[in-house]
Amino acid sequence: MPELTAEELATYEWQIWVPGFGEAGQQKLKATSALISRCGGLGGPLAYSLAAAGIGRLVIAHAGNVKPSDLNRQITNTHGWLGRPRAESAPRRLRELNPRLEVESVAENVNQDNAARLVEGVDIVFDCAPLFSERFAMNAECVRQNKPMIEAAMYCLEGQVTTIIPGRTPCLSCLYPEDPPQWKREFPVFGAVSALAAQVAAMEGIKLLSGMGPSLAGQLLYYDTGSMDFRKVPVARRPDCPVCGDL
Amino acid sequence: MNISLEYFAQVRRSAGTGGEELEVRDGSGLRDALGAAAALHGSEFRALVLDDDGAVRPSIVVLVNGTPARRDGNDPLAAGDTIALLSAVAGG
Repeated sequence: MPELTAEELATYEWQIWVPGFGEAGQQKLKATSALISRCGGLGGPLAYSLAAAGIGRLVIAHAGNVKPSDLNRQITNTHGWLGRPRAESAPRRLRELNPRLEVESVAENVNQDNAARLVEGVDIVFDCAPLFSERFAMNAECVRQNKPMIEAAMYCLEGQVTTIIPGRTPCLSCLYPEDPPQWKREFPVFGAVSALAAQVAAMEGIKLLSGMGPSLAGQLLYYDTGSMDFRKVPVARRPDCPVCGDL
Repeated sequence: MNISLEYFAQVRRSAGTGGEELEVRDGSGLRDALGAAAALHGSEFRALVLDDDGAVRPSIVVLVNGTPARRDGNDPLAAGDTIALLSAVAGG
């Protein structure tokens, strides 16, 4: 494990006090690299929290340029960056927060052609993509490469998070065997609702990586900020799952 | 017999409610109960939850009393059971 510098010890002192985390957890986090796809309303706040917590390296995959309609939730993009690449905005913001962070930015969305390469280079994947084709591509690669994936999603006032550990928990294709026909590329969203799912996902990742253990393996956290209901529901592996059924 | 239904995500919006109680015939199974709910809530709800054969769509997570339901929809039901329907979402 990498040693913590005096600056890192000072920066992370308050979270090192957390029982079960400590300096060993901080060292593990420093040694970790994560893929975030994409860096929008979910991935942006998630990247911020991982950067603040001291993760060693982030790979951020997100194509396209910043649009006005991004700015109600995509906090790694700013008004001054309108019309410019999202992939350049996130690293700039994250390094302002944590100059020790190594950030690799990829100006592509995850797809079947690049998923293997992107997943190979990291220890964990945070799925924040708006399309199920991207989510399924990452899921299949995570299962093939035996890497955990934190699955965060939201719609309107509601959010869902679960932790996928290949061979132990249901994978995304166990949960949803086909591309959900009702899902549309554009959806109602408040930034605070997607950020909430992002923070839950960030903590699941931090706990998993640091050895504290995840809480949402085999369970899906559902919340509704309209009614402020929060509940966990069990989710089960599918023995005939074409992606993970053989594990 | 009476059963309870709980709706989440797009299922909730389609039904216009977070949940309800339904009266179904004794001996009804999951598929019967969801068919009754679809009859109550109309074509949008039906298309979201059920396929053309009346089977639960794979994109819907179904729990019966907190336990994942069988995919064939043939779970037997008893009075007082609670069915939860959760649709897949991916927004960010």
